[in-house]
Amino acid sequence: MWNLLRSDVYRFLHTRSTQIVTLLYVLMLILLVSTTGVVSNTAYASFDASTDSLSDFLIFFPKSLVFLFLVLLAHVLLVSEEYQSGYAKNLYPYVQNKWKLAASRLLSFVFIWGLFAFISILYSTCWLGFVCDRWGTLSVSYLIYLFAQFLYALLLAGTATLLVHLIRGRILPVLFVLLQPCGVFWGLQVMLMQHFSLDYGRYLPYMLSGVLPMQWANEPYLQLFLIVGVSLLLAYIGNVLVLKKKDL
Amino acid sequence: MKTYAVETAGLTKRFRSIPAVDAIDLKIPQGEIFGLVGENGAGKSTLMKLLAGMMQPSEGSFRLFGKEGKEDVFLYHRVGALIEQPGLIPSLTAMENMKTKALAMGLHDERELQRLLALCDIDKSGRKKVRAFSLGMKQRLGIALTLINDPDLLILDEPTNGIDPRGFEAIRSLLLRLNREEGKTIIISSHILEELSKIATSYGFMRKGRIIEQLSSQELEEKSREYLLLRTPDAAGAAVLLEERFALRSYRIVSASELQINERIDSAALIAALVKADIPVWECTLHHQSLEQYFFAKNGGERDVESAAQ
Repeated sequence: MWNLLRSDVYRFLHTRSTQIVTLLYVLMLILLVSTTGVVSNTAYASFDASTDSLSDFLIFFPKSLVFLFLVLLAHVLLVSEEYQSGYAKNLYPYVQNKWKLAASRLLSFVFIWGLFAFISILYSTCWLGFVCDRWGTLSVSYLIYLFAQFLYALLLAGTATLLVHLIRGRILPVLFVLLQPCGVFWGLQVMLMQHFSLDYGRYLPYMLSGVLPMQWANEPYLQLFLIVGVSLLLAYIGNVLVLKKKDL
Repeated sequence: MKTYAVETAGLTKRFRSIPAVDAIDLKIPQGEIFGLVGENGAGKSTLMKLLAGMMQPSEGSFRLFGKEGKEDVFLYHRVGALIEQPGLIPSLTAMENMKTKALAMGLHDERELQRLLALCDIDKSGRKKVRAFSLGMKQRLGIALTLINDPDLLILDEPTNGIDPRGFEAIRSLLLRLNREEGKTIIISSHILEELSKIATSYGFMRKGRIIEQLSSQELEEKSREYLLLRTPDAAGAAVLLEERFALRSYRIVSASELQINERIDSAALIAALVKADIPVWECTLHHQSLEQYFFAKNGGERDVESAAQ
């Protein structure tokens, strides 16, 4: 599993498409954090580069559209390339334990998420902290908040990876990683809920991660860990089953 | 006890209930170069994919080096496969492709990777990305990739696709060396059967998902070597006469009017002797089957077996 991660990291750093996505993220980050007057809004998060502090940015970035989309896009490109180039045939038969193989695909996402998060924290600290002197305050519970947001992103990565394994293409998974953070699926759910007079929106991972407070509170955090954790487990089992059953 | 590199038992793969590989029982001893011969759609690639762990069988089982995949999770580390396409990442260089796979397998010796690239004559590609490679270069890099884990069993499906005659010769020498010096078992399919016949030590003929014949190169040689076909109204009488006059031992009465003589014999003297004994001779022709001709004959005579009349 660790060997696969090493190989994925090497491939990530040397592949043109992932290099471009990383560069694009750095440029977007600079634009978001440094350019006065830029306001970035997603359904449940916003950040204004002209007024907000470093702590505001650190709360904003893990659920921002730009971060989520590009980190997931880099992951989808990395995994889908294995099928598109036929490299999967060179690799997958050697990993007979498909539980490990599925876990290694998620582990490669952990690396990409970590890298993008590191770049975000590093640049925002330098600019908003040291240059603009807008530090703000964060408590220790921020780490739990960050972990919860990471778990949500990991669920999206697991679902996108499942799509890649199923269709062996990249268009549908890329659409998924674009539309999910944009809230398109959330919008569809709202329509369904209105049509059938139901209200299950507060149990959806999109909502749970969006409204998660920065400070620890039992209900939203435990609900998120439970729902996202179970969904992630199901996505992982789905990945393993597809890897076991589907021929290369 | 003889150890087999590959043993299959009723190995079957169906696609929507249509068998692509149909109840194959195959044994390939270690150290063989096994030529898999068959037309397009005969099931060669599917069989190779099954053995390479790229597909799950619908029925039956197989063992590699006496073990099933479930028994040893590292079993496929003893296998190198190049099937249908080399599986290269186009935006990486040859060395980067090698490193990617090597790292995934826990191997770190860059000098060994360089040696393999040189062995497959692809070490001069430098910073050139794989997407700019010719088909032949990609195939050679594909072979180098299969060798990374120093496999005991190589499964190569049309490895000489797109390779020019010189590259062809180089790959043939490489495979022979790997087989003779390192004892690697090789399963290889190729559409160029004459080239295959230069390296294979045994063959499996596939048709409609089944192995219709498995034989060694000596057996094939025996079956396809030159023979004289005599057509006469009295094949049995001709055989008796030739036994007496020419001490003929190796022959076969194909039918009442056809006699196959497997020994070298002076055909002019033979015809003269038969005519003198009032045994008419309708035809006397020298036949020789190449692997290709043998293959076509096996596949229902879709192309006539060519004969060279003497």
